[in-house]
Amino acid sequence: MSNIDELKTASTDATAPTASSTATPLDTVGATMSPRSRTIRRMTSSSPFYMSIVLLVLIAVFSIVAPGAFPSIANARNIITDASTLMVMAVGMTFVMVAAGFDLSIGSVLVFGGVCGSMAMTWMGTDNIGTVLVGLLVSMLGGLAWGLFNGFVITRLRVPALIATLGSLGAALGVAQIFTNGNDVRDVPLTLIHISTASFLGLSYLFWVALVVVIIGALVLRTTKFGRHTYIVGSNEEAARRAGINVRRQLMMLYAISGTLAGLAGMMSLTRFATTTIGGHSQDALTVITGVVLGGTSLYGGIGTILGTVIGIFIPAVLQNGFVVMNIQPFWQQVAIGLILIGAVFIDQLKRRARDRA
Amino acid sequence: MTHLLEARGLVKNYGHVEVLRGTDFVVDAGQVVALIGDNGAGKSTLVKILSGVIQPDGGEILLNGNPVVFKSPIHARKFGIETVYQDLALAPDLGPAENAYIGRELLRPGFLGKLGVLDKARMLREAAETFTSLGTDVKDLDAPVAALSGGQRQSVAICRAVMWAKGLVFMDEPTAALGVRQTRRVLDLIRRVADSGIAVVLISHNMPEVMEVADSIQVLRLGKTAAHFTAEDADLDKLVGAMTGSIEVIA
Amino acid sequence: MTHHQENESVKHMNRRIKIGSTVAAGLLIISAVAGCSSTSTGTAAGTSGKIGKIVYIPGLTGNPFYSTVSCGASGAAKKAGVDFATQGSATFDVAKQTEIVNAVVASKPGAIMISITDPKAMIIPLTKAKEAGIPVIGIDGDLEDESVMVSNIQADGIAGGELAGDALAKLVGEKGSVMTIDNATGSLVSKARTDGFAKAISKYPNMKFLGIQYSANDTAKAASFASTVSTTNPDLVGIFSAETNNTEGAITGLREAGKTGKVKLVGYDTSDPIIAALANKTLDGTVVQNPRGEGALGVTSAIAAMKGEKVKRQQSAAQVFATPENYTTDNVKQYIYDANCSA
Repeated sequence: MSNIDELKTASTDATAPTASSTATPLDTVGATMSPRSRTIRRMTSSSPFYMSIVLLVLIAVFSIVAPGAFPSIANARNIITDASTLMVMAVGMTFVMVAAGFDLSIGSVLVFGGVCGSMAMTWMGTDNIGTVLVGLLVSMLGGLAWGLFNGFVITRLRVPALIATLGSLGAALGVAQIFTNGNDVRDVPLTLIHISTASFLGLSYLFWVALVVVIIGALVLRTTKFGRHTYIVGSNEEAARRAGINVRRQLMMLYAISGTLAGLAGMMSLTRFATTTIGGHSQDALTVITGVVLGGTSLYGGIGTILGTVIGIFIPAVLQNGFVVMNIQPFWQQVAIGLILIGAVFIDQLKRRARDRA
Repeated sequence: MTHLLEARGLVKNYGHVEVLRGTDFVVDAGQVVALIGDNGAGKSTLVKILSGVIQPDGGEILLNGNPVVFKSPIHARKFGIETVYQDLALAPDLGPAENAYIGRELLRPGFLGKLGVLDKARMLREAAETFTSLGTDVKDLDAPVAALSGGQRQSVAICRAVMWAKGLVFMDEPTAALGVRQTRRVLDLIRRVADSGIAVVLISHNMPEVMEVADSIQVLRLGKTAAHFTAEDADLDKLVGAMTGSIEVIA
Repeated sequence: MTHHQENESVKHMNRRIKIGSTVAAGLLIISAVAGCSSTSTGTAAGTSGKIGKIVYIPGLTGNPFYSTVSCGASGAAKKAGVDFATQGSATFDVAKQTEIVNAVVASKPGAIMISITDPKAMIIPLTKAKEAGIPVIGIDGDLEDESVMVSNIQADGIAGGELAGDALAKLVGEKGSVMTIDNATGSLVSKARTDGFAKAISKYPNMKFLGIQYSANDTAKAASFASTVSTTNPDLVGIFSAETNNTEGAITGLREAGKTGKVKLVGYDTSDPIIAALANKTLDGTVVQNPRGEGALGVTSAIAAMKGEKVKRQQSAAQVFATPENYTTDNVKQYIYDANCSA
């Protein structure tokens, strides 16, 4: 909004409006540039663009420093496989964060989904592709249930998203532990293990699942009314409400998506490790949020793309891989990722301030 | 004679406080009607009732001579009544064209539309047409609204309302936060809107501005219509007198 | 509290992001409730005299080793007619374990068995237990202040690490580079294992120890370490993982990189997937402790301490090296963990 000086001018000087003949350019909405150069400028000033440069620089540096080791198809495959599960959750997180929400519960919902899926498969007692599909369905339904719970608590009980999902971060893990007596579920059907070793075009099925989720997520967010409403709710919730958008329903669906994708990630993790890895996901939400924010999604909502998220997830993944390849003391990874995150948000703030000052 | 929108004897109480005590109001197509009054005179309550935000405790509203009840702003919109809120209700991260279609997005025809896919090209084109027809030169309908000046944002909000209004636009203090030159542009825009046949109800504190742009001026005082002037016979002394109660004129 | 100890625990707290530690409270309540309701072994009422309830506090819940300790202890307690319960946190965390110890001490049990998360930071809370007249039995790890615990029952981590190191050296023909995957710095138990492993490797002139990567108990991270190093370092011939989660992760990582069998993998501790991996030879061996025996020994030591009898200060349980060839033999089988108390 305008600054105080302008306000003062409005109340004191408006008695003598200036002639309109010289004021024509003021009415112009947008700069006088050709549409094409404007599009290019907007693209090159976006966070995903900066971050893809950071990513390319990282890849270049590691390739130069460790030429015989880092740049190989096998190693690229490692990085891609490692990132698949996080990527699925990051798509859900992007949707939620674009709507100015937050979902801290995904790591526990992943565990919950995996536990539900594995218990369903054990209960069926069969061992074929049908068993796995039922497990997948149950796992996603388990995630959906927590997503709806989050949505309900946030939209109906009006508990802030940070606290609501912090609560379900604890609760979902607790319920999973009650189900399993606190122990990892470890008897999974052999079919699942076969899936984990199989590949399509040289890449694990987990990657293909993640790719499908990313593509669908990107299309929905970018091209559909649902995606547009997500941006509007995140940008100005009150404006959305006044325009007749059902904000509660929108948020409910967004948390449901995040929960369901965390459930899917639970099944992916179960497929990968043949065990529910209950203790290993307390940091997942923070890792995913780091990636999403690196990819340019605003913590205040209204801004963010799936493409950016993909880049943002790969930055820590490549960094970790490169550091391990170079056998650098592991603690430096955390330092580097932390500093890049702070730097990315700092640049974003600068840009935002410059923009709002216009 | 039937009017575009007419309110008769509107009453609104908040507890023991009588905010509106039998207020009348009239606006016709193509007119700019200014609504002025001191703080607490009942301006915003009147506009809230007329735009469907709140319901009156008494009185009636006639649209083209027919009694109507506006259950909500969304409901009022169905009758072609739009409101430009003081806070503009824009999504700052979206572009002007995107803002113009908030909650009323156009979908692609056919199968893609059934999937909920937006017709971005058409929205951009039609928003550009509206903006241009109102004399607001639009070069970049994609750039975030947050990057625009206050006056440009106000123009976007007004253009959006006009785009959808079939009869009437309420504007709540549209120039309150603007500099002199931007105020001028917005007043010109308001005039153009009225000239296009749409009625504009303008709430303002700014007397010179009101006298310049309005066709008629209605003064509220203590929840009642205190005076009604045409632009020609209004002057600052009369308006202030009517607002403060030192002059009692009912036109 | 001395400055030294304070620094230690503060350091530990800071390692997690603030949100993480806020979560702790919530998780703690939930896991404590879960732990309490699910693993309590009730006995006939009227356990008389000074023989009170024995509470076991594991390093974290859901870990097969600790769960099997709990099984062994629960069985022995039932046999002796003593009340027994397990109360633990879902993650391996000093702060959370401290809170649990404080709560348990407040409930005035007869004795505490504990697998400590930190040899220094846990001195203060456990000293409070000692001052309240509650004997403390260590399972799988002693405090630096040895006056606090009545007894510590522990497999020798250095010896176990050496066992793993020698076995891995033999598997790779005593030449090439090897690495270790560990959870985090700060655990004395893990440090003994990794030190023992490095010590064993240093005996072989043609072998090189590449160092340790820390997974923070994240299976996916362990998988990533294994796949990355095995594809990018042609000299790598073997990996030692010091805990079950890391072993499970390394199995997956090597499989995904297509290096199973080419890079030898030796673990520490067992779980169902680890036994399955021995069966299908995706794992070349693992050091197995005797948690069931440690749990039972813990209970008998606790009862003796409650009765005022003398208990041996350091007790140890034997370890074996399980391989695809020997894991089904009776000798090794009795060591294999059973988290679900089925035996």
